[in-house]
Amino acid sequence: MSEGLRVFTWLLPGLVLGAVLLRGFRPWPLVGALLGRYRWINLVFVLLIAVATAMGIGVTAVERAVREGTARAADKFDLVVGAPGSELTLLLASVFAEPSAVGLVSGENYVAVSESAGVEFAAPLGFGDSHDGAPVIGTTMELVTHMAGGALAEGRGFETPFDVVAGALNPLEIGATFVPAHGFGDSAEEGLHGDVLTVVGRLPATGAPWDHALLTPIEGVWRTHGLAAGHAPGHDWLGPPFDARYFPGTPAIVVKPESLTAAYALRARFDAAEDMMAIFPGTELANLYGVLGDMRAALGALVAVTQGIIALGVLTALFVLTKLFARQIELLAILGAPLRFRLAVIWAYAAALLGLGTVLGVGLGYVAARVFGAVATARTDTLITARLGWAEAESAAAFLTLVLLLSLATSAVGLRAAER
Amino acid sequence: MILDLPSLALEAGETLGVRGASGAGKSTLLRALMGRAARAEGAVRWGGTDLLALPRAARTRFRAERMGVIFQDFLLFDELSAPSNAAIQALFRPRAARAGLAAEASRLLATMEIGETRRPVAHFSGGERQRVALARALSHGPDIILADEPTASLPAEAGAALVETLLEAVRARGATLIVVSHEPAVLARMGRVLTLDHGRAAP
Repeated sequence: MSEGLRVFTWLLPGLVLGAVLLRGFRPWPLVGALLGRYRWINLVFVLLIAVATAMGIGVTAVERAVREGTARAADKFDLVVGAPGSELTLLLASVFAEPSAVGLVSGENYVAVSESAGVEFAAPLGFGDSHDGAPVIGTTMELVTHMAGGALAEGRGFETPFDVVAGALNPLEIGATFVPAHGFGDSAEEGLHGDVLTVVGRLPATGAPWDHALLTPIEGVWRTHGLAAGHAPGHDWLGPPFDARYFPGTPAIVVKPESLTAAYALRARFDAAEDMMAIFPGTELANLYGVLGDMRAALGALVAVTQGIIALGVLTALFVLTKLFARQIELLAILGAPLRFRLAVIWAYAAALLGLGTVLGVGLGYVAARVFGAVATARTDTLITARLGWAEAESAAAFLTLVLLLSLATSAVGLRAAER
Repeated sequence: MILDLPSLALEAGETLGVRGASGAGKSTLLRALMGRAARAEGAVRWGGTDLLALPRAARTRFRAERMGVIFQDFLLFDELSAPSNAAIQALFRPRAARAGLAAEASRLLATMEIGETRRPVAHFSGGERQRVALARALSHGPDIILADEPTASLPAEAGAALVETLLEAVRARGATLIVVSHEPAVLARMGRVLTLDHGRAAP
């Protein structure tokens, strides 16, 4: 069944009820009169319903946006190898460029990984420096090209250890120079390093925190820190092959397997090694979603309870309002309006409030999700784009129909009480 | 017992004034005649139709088709215009009857010098509002018109004019009119007057 059809199916009971109840009648002038007479109370109802709807759809839209955004960020990282420790820390350090204290993979292990059958490339990562809050990440041109999807957005790749390819959202222009600070954030120390780096190229946008990063040859990072440059003296090329004897260690190796089959074989092999572990970032994220999924269920239940309370409040208020309309309802009965018409007027009044509230709630939910997405993107550097999908439309349609059906009972009870 | 009326017979086209002190049973009589008394025994027979013997829905339909009702405090929908109020039955009557209802409501409003204004009746004077209520009571061509203190909320001059309009309309269509009123000037214009005292017809 298509999504649109599912939404329609949810709405169908409410539509059928309306069609049956209103058939042959024109209650809308009276509904308009009732809406106008108690406009401020009605406005409060509409806002309550809007908030209930927005909560329902906002939570699912935001949760999906976070899932999609983080999955997109991990898209280029098929397999990551690190020293034994926390998989989550390795994931954060590599995919999300979060400064983390992780162990180092030795040169011997790096060479073993890079020379394994089925490895297209194995790029070491080097963290530790930053500039204006953006991480300076040492790596190889192979990984930069892979992240760029084949070609840089502008400029060129690494030719010297002091060249930098900036992430798509980093404010440094091509040609800009800087001296990296040692460390990150408030603890970053300026003036410890002397090498001046120059921005020579720019990555296209990836939606990952790497969009803010400054990528530089890992040899330059090692050298800046007074370490061996990964190659034997006199061998001054950039990138692989690295010499294990001159390899200072790396917190993470991003491995590009030649195939999916190779990826699983490599992961099993590296993970079995005593002093290495290998993770699929996508799998780690899925595990994380599993944990978050429980939270989502709890949050969903909380939202459902809140929606239920709001719906109950609105229905109770509808009952009270029906009693306020008692004279108008009695007048209609005296003028000869049939019971179904009197019921139709009250129900259509409720339906108008519910419909307006739901439409407003969808808009409100969309705006709230977008705002949350913008704030989350700014805070995590991961592109979180929340948008409304069919799931949210179904949620809104289900809520609307449920309350429309319940409001028929409330209208009937209210009418009976008003005419007593 | 609030009202005990052994017999009350009216000819078609007759006008009846009902008077009595507060609590004498005037409003209860009107409710019984509309078929809306909470508990009633006996019969309320309009022509060959015993209203009390009809199911509730049929009584409602009878009122829609054959009765026009006017209230002391007008009971209009304040947010609607005069034509919308006068043709209120068009909202629930069968489609075929709607155009005729609206046209008759417009004609009646024009003869009562209200016109086709779209202003909500909340902005109308008391006399104008009661004329709109009168147009509403007549627009569907009823042959029974019930009025509960129709002039009580109006100045004397406006009240007298309204009674003239009402009587003219009744005469023109040969309808039966029952007016509850405490005003001698109104009662004097009725063909016959019934006095209620503690729920019974006074001699």
